[in-house]
Amino acid sequence: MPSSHPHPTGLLVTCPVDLCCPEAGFTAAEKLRVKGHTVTVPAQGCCGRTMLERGDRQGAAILARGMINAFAGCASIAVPHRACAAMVRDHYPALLSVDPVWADRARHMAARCHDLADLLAPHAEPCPDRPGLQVTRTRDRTLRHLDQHLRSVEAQLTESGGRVHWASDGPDAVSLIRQLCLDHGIGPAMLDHSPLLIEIGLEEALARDGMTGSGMMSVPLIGISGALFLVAETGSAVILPSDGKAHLLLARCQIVVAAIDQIAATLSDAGQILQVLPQGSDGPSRVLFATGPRATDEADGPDHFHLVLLDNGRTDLLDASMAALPGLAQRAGWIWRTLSRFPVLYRRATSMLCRLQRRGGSFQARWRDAGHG
Amino acid sequence: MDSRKQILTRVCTAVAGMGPVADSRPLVSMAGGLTNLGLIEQFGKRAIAAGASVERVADTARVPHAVADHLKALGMPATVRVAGSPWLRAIPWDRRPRLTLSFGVARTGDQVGVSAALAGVAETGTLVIPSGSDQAAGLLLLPPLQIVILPLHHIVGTLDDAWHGMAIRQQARGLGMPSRVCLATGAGDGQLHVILVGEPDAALP
Repeated sequence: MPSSHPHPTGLLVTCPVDLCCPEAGFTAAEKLRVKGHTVTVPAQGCCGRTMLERGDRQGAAILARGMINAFAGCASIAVPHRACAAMVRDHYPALLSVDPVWADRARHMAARCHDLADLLAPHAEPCPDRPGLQVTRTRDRTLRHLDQHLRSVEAQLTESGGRVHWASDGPDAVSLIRQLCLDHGIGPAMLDHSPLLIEIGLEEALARDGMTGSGMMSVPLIGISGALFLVAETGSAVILPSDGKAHLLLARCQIVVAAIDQIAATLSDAGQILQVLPQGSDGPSRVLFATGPRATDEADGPDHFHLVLLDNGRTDLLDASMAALPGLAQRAGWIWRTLSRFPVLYRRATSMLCRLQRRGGSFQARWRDAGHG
Repeated sequence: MDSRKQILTRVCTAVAGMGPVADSRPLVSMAGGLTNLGLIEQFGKRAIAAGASVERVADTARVPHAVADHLKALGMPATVRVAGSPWLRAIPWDRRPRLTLSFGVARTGDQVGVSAALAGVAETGTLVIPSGSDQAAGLLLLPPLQIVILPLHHIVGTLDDAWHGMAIRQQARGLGMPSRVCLATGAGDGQLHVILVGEPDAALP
């Protein structure tokens, strides 16, 4: 199969996936790999769609040039977000049409750019397009009240009978979970393959203590999962059941690890976020909203439910990116118009913006941490 | 300082320095404005595109035949685990005596799970199945073949409509958010077969 795709396929991560749903990036890369693609993730920033929608064509053109450079070596480009794919395909050639150097390169990139769903299943009917910018704005709005949302998750989940734990870093989270396993444990725990659990090195830590049993096929006593994100209004953890490991979600004691900055304010916002996951026949087929232990009248579900809220450096990023990004966004038009008169400064500014994004880009950072370069 | 206080303090500091957020426009639903028949048609198309199989029967009396015939076509044993909902129990399963049924929650080794969906979302072909006294989320996760019965009048346009319907149902029962809500779109690890039950009422908006 790999021989059918000898040239690398570049994954254009998109801001919603990079910043909001990193797990979707890993899923997209894995689906492409299974289809025989050699996947590469060039260091990248924003495609420029948000700037264009603000009417800043020059700023968008700068980011477009950066993306064209980044993906120059890719035979095809997969985009897990339809609106960003449309930006590259429909707007890049128009944005750079008057630039004799870049016009051809923009058209060439547009011709190689595909919706992820189309690339994975060319026969599948495309899902309806949605205003993709909504997710970015929804996330912006949510982060501005992050403290309230975290308190809401805690209050709602506690009311539902669950317990919330706070972990400053990976070792803190591992220590908490180890203690929970000891408190509840008769028999080994079972873990899913979530990036969050990999991030804190949980499997290795529990395996050293002989506390895991990831090979078992029956329902374990303790199931540990990473949440895709949380829902503040209900205190729910949104989980994508791992391939072949769905039964760990039926454990008598369920432990869920969630990042503090992956949060939706409402169920409606959660629906928006799910919309930006890869769609069609290769999208997530099951999504579980888990909200505490089972109620007395419920037929199944865990007897105990623990949520571990993980910081692990996220408040540092939050502090840096939040202080800088809104100001940049508000002044973007003026900044780009001024800088456009000075080509060297222009390039440096673009580079700085992309670096800022890469710093906050959960998917790209984790992709590189996983040794993909 | 404990971890909770430390994290919340740092989050508060970060959000305090933020500017206003851009206005957010409401989402425009592709399912908006569809008639009842249009919603049913769109649900079927989306579910099939996502990898599920879909069939329609006129009433619940036809459900046992649909289940048994589907298992026969797949060459699977006619043994199914059915969620313990009163609505599912009321189906005249004895019309296909060779179908072996047990009601209750999913168990390891179950090959076929039968459950009923609270809602079908036309926009995405997604089934919404909450846990409850009469429903078990495990039936959507464990068995390799999942059969979901969906009354036609439970098909709604968007996921928001489904959340709204669920909230009303829970309030009427004096309950909060169910401990589990499973959204199922397409086949997943195994296979998903959706049986749509009822005759569409074209007069409905």
